[in-house]
Amino acid sequence: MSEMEITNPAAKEEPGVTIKVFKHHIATRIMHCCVALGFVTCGVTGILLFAGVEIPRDTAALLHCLMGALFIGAPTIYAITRFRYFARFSDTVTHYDKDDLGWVTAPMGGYLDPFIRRNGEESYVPPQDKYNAGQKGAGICLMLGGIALAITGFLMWGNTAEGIFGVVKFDMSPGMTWFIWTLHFVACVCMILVFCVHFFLSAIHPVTRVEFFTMFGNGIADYNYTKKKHGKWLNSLEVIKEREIPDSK
Amino acid sequence: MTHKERIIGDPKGITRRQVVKGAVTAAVALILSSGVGGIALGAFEKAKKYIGNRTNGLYGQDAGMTLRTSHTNPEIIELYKSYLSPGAVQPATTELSHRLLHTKYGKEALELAEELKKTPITAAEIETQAIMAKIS
Amino acid sequence: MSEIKDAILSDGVISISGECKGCDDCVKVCPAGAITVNGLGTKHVIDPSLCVNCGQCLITCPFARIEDVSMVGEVKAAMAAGKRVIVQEAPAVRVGLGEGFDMPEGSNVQGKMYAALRKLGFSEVYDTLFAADLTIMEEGFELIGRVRKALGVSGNEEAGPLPQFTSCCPGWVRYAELNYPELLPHLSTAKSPMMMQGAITKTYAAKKLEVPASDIYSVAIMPCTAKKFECSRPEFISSGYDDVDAVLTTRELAAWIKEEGIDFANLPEEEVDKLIGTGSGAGAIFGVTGGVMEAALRTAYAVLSGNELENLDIEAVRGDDGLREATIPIPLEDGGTLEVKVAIVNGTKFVDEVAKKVIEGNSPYHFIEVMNCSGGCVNGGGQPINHATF
Repeated sequence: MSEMEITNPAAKEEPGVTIKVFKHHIATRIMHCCVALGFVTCGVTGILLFAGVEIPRDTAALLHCLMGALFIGAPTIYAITRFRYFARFSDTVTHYDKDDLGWVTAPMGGYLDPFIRRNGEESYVPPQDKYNAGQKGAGICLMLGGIALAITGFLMWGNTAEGIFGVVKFDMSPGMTWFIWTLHFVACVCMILVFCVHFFLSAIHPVTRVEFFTMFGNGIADYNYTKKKHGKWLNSLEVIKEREIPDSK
Repeated sequence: MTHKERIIGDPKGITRRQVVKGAVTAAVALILSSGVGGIALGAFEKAKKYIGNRTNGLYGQDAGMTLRTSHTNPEIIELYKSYLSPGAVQPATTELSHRLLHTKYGKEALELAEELKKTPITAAEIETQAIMAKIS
Repeated sequence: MSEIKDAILSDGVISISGECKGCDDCVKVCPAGAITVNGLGTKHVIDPSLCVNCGQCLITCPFARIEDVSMVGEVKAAMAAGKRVIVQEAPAVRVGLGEGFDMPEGSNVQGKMYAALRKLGFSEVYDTLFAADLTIMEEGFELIGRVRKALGVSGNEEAGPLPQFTSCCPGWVRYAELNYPELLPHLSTAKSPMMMQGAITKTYAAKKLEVPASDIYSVAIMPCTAKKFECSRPEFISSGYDDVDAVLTTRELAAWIKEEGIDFANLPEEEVDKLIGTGSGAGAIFGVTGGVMEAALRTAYAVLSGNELENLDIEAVRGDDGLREATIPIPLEDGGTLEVKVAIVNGTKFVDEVAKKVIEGNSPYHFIEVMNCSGGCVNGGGQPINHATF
């Protein structure tokens, strides 16, 4: 990775100034918690139900459906009440330029370096935006996959004898039930694969896992990490607040 | 001594491109969901088309046949005249018709089963022939 | 009665495998409420004390997790043992069998069906169409007797009450036995065409073919899984033997034909065996909702008026609504008109309304046709499974 020359005065390091990079608002972090909780519970209950393991199926199924509602409901409410943040995210993950291509051809943002390069050499990765090329692609996959899971799940839930708490009931033909179930299964497999990579990089990888505490904590990202990995974004930021703090003894 | 703490973040405003991308993403989500939902539910009636096709197969066979009524079926007439009601076509009257072609339901069916085990078919055949011979 | 028939009588014909996903498609289609639902997503179980063996759940399950008891082994054993294996096939079979061989939906493959059955080793290939005509004769005259009794014509005191219900659908018969015992005197005493054919095969046909009835093994190819229960009933021994020894579904026949490597689609069109094989168009439409009614009316009209109907297509009883009714005026031979009021129940879930009126004594009908499977036997639990996605 090449370190980008920071030209934006707001983001430029100065002596006597501690810069805190505010990456995720509270609403975003809450929404992400809901999605994470929803996805993991759905995944676990879904796999148990699919495998036919001896568990109380009705409890597992109800939990699966309710968590599914949370999984799709939280980002939907977020998109409506925080349209600005949702719009920015949509824009970032759908905007690709030569720097993103450079991330892919690096290869793969430099994450394959331990396997393909010797002597601790680092592949060259162009400065990245708030989300790097891989994160952008994953973002699109997760949005599409999430919608697929939600709509197929909703259809299967409404197709049951009692429907959705007796209020929403409809019928699918058996051929369609099979198709919708298969779509749900395929979307699930894809989502779990993407999630595994996402979880590894965000919680386990020794370098990138600092982001874990950003999203699940106070939303502040590490300055040096951001400068190295998301330099282009760092260079676009504005000052939100500035204050004097006494030096600690 | 103090030092400055500066918090930096995304610019407050929203660009036109972001608004468009946000709206398009939301629209795509809505269209995909309602599209899949609509197709899934709309297929319910179409899935029954095969029943109509099989139905037409039978009505079509009927329409194309010369023999279209049960009472004009020569093999049926022969069955009655030579066996079930010898010499005539008398449905639902003889002992043979009664035994071979009629039944009982519920508890009475079990009683019928016991009865049938006790009397051989030949008894009904003989009785039928005798009665029909008397009539003719 | 054989072991397999005893098992069918005690455990029923249909079972759900342990791989059930709990999607509820079968529960919603079961006419008897026989599939347990213990909560969202739970594996389903059939209650044999409520099940009418119709197999609608089986042809509905999107994941093919429901099975019916097979009697194919018994049939092959009978052939191997040198028995005279005689077969009949229901009307609906010939418009479903082709789907097992990628032929267009609803293709009428009657001729090829006969050819295939001969290749499989059946000695005589008759047709349930014959017995359908026989059913019309027996049930039609029974109805006339009940009508005459209601009108006070002497000599009909032994006749049953009106309205008369058809009794050819074993799913409906079992449903009535389990849920409406008060209706049983209203059910026609006539057997179903399949059972009539079996009884006639081992008596009349045995004599004409000069074969001892004990040597005959009678098989029925049916679009129906409830027929497996029907042929196992202890009272169906009027010939002195099991009137029908085994029932195979259209699906099982298609599978057997494939197993033997027979190129079904290119078989020549063959004719049925004469004696008890010829059937009329009225018999052919037995497989369709309203068909039994139409067949009965064609004969009732002729018997009561002395003339054939000018237009044999009685559109008034055709259609796919769940509950249909019609009034057919029949000019009587000695003057006057009999307005025959009929009802057609297409799917057991529509029968309750009609049944309740009959029990209360308020039913306006003379004759009521009930078919358990929506659309009639063409959509029976034994037919090839047809799950178009789009």
